[in-house]
Amino acid sequence: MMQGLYRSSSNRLNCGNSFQILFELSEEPSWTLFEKKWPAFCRSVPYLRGRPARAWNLAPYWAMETAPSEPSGHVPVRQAASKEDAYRILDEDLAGPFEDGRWPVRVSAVRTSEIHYVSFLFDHRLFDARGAELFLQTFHDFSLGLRVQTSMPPSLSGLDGFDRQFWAGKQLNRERLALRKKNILTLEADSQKSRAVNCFQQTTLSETQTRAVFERAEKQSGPFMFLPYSLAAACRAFCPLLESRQKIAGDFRISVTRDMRPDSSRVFFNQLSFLFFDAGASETLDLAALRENFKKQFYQAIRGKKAEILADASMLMRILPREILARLMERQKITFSFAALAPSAYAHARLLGARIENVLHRPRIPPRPGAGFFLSTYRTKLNVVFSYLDSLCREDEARSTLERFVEAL
Amino acid sequence: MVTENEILTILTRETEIILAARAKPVAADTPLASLGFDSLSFVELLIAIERHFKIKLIELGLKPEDTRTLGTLARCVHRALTP
Repeated sequence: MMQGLYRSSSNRLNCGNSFQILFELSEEPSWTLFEKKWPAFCRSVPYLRGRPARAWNLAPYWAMETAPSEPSGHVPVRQAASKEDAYRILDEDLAGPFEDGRWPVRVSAVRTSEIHYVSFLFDHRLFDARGAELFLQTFHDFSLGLRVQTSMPPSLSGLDGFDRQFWAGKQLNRERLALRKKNILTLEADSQKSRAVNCFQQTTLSETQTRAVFERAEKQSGPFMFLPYSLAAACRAFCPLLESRQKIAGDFRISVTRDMRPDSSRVFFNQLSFLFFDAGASETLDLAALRENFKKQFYQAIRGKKAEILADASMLMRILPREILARLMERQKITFSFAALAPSAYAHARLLGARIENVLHRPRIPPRPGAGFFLSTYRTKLNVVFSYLDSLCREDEARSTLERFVEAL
Repeated sequence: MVTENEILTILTRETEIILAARAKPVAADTPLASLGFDSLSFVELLIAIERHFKIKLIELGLKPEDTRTLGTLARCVHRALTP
């Protein structure tokens, strides 16, 4: 069941600023419908045609395109010999540029004799996973001719209040500087590799396996405590990777993404925030104690409004030039990234008329930390993805890490 | 001493605030998961409980049966407050 899926080539700046929502369909989707509806839908979403800009090189704002180009509705469907071959193509595709350098969504498709894959690559500056799924759900309604709401007031987009965002960024930077005193364990890049390639290992648990995981989480960690439960399992799985590099004494620091969206009607715009969890490497020996530790940290972080400060600061991601963002992330001391997404927000059983078998969330990982675990649920099945840079970790090591993670869940 | 019904009223109000538009009509016997709670919003509810009643349920050890519905949670809070 465990699939070894790997490699996406990247010759572009990789700062983890895009992610893929991947649909596995059991039949051919209607590309005629897509060609007819997609450009019109994108045209109807005003903020999609914007870009970050600065007035007098100072005040940031979202500049709307006055003469926007139109995204193409034509998607070439590539043929793959097998599932592994399909994922190789999809992985490579993940590293490609956005259409016209502007449109923050790119669509591609691959088919095998059994499965049709439709990939939507999103720019993280505008979208997060939940927002992207809601965006695609809105497109689905639009494609059926239903009336949809695609505009929103600027206050809902989070594109105002930049003074608050800069203040939050300053707070975070202070915390980051204070953290430099700690010995945070990280994987170091192989100096022989000048360019990192983003790779994936992933698996989908069956309905029975998924139910068993959630039951264990509730029993061992308490109700609604899947996040601390799965995070502890990820630490346990990651520990041998560090040990193999003689990194034993020190601390784990994990950045966990959280959806701060208080209202599901916001179809898009990144509402991501982060929570940071710390643990001593030796704590991974006792999973029960580690879970309790993470539960306490989770509680304290929400109580101390840290998620809100981080959410404000995260908005800066939209306006920071990518080179600066990459440089900032390069300095981060994080052991790995982690996300346990709520069940998929894409509520329809079909996409472009074709039946959906699964929906996967596959984010590109920034150079720091260069590795991350991502859990997402589509209907009754749990998807487990380990995203990593090949300069930090070999394919066999990544596969073992994913296997250990699934075992610990 | 606060009654179980009074606790339930406070929990219902806090749930409406936390879940905002996500929530379906909040009833005492609706499963919390159906209301739209996830780990983040549930912790927010526990923090609201701490603010109102000065108890940290997360440290007292919640059982799955305590968190099935707002009604069972109100009973749990009442039990924790009873000397």
